[in-house]
Amino acid sequence: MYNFAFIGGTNNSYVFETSNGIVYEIKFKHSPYLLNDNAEYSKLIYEFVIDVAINNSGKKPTLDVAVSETVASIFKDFFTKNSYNICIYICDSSDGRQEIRRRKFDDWFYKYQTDSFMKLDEVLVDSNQNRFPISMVILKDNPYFKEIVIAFADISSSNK
Amino acid sequence: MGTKEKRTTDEVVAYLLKSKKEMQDEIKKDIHTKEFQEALQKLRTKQQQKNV
Repeated sequence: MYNFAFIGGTNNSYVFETSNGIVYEIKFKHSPYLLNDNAEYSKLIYEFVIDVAINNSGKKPTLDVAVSETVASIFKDFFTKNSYNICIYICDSSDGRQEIRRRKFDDWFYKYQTDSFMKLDEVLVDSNQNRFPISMVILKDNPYFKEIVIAFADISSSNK
Repeated sequence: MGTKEKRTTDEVVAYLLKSKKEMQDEIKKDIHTKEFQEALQKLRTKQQQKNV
């Protein structure tokens, strides 16, 4: 696993650098809008994003197990700050690589998570029939667990 | 973007993709900030100490 640093800021930024000199940044953006912005739990909802911040290698990042471990640790750290946090991740499908992104996200989650977390997967289908895999990570003992799961399932059927 | 009306999947997808793009753009800009540079420097120093 790589060392990581919490930068903070509006969108709760984390940063880490791989042994190949690739620097990743992760953000957790507060998004009360996503499920039901009138619900009590709306203040706990965050969107998760990871991206390469610096890559001077001139090559695409290759599979690196330590990256998965580090992302998992950052998740744990973020949930340590507030165990009731809820993270939502959407896989961009603009380049047709949404399933690869989902598999990567699954890898971070299933290999290194503790049993106290739960991940829920859905596919959002827009009116043009484009499919967007979306995942939500929540701790099982979240006091709003049932309401959040219902609200999450609801967003995938809201074009009907 | 708050609203009391039930939002459609199209609206949720549009919001999420826009938000993701904004955060990715923010990451590109972050690398020039003092906070980012300091954090990266600390990580590199820590790594160098580990390698000694």
